[in-house]
Amino acid sequence: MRLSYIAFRAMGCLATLQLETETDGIERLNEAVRQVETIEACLSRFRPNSDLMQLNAQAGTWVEVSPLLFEVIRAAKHAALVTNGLYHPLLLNIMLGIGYDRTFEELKSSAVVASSTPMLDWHAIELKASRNAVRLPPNGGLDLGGIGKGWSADYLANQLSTDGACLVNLGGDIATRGAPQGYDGWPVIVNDPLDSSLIVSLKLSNLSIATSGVDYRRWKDLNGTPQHHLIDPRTGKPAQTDLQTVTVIHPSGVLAEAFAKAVLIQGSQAGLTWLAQQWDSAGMVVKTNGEVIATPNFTQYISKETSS
Amino acid sequence: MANPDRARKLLIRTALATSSTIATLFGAQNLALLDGTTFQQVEAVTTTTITADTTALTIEQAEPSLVIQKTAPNFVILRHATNGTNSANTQPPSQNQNVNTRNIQPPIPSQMAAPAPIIVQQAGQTVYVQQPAPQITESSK
Repeated sequence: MRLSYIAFRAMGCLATLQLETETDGIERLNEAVRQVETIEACLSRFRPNSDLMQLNAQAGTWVEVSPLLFEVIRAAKHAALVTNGLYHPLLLNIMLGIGYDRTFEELKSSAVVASSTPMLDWHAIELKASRNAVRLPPNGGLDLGGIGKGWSADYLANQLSTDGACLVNLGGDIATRGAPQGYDGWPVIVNDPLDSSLIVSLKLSNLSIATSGVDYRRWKDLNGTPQHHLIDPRTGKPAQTDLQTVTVIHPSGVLAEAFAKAVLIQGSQAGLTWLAQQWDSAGMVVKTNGEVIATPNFTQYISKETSS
Repeated sequence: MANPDRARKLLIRTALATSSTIATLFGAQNLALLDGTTFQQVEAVTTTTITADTTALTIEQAEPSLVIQKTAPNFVILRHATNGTNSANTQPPSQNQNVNTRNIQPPIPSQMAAPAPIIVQQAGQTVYVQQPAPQITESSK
């Protein structure tokens, strides 16, 4: 068995793949990198010709889409349902309204003007599975950024797992399958968002983990009003919260991402209480005052190397 | 007799037709009887009057002293606030009583027991490594 590793940039972030296999791991990972590009070409809202943006351009009409896009949209609706809309897939126009109309790398060096945009009802996204058809509400804009990496990490991990134990990391959204020989899980680290110091080290197997935060993607509009990319669907504005970051462990990468956002939007008290009630979920939060709190079932994943 | 064979054939065909007709009529009559029976039974059910027992029910508490409280999940503090404003200190008791926290020994921010694998590669090049490389979960950068 050999362990292969690759790091590359995709989806606007750093991505890494690891695969332990007896077969040709290098070729398998190279193939997975090409799959990432295929997925991004389908789901990115920053590519005018992506399948997603072509769907958005035809909001209000039935559009037959690729099986991949249909499956992600179906997963997004499910995530909205289980989070009672705190994860909301129809935020594209809101994001454009607050100035997030380009990649974050471009946004950091530009000036934007924020405007208010009305919220749409995510229930109005209609699906017809027999035809892979989708109809968005009129003027609706789908943004899958909230769950896209989690879904993609799970998808790639499922593909790679046919060859052996693997870990897929897309910008911090991580999916694990199995564990490397001699290990009881893949090592995953949670750092302090403020100074990057280690908070906790985890061991994960057949689980996904995602972290949402307001620590990085922040900017100011032309009026000097601070903006960040995590929108509270209840207000249509960047979430007001006492949390810096939220980390959630879940068998599903989509729900790990969606739950992390739901907790962050609700704040430490309501968010952690809500998370503790969700099936198969564990999580921790870093508050703005530096306090780190976790659900009781989170501690089972802490690596012995960092627990006393 | 002008044609005894023709007469015999006619007699046989008549008997067959008659017997099949009688069988059909008999079968139909039986089905009608069954339907009628079923209908009568349904009718009997729908017309039955059910009288509710309006006697007041007495509930006896086996454990009158038992008090059910909403229990809150016990959250775990992995690290206290760096500026001294812990949750227990910053919120009034009335807001705190439904959230229980317990401390565990904060994890020692030590180095990993196993050294991180040395990865020497060009960007986008797949390489073999000796150990799994620890991955950081963080908000997207």
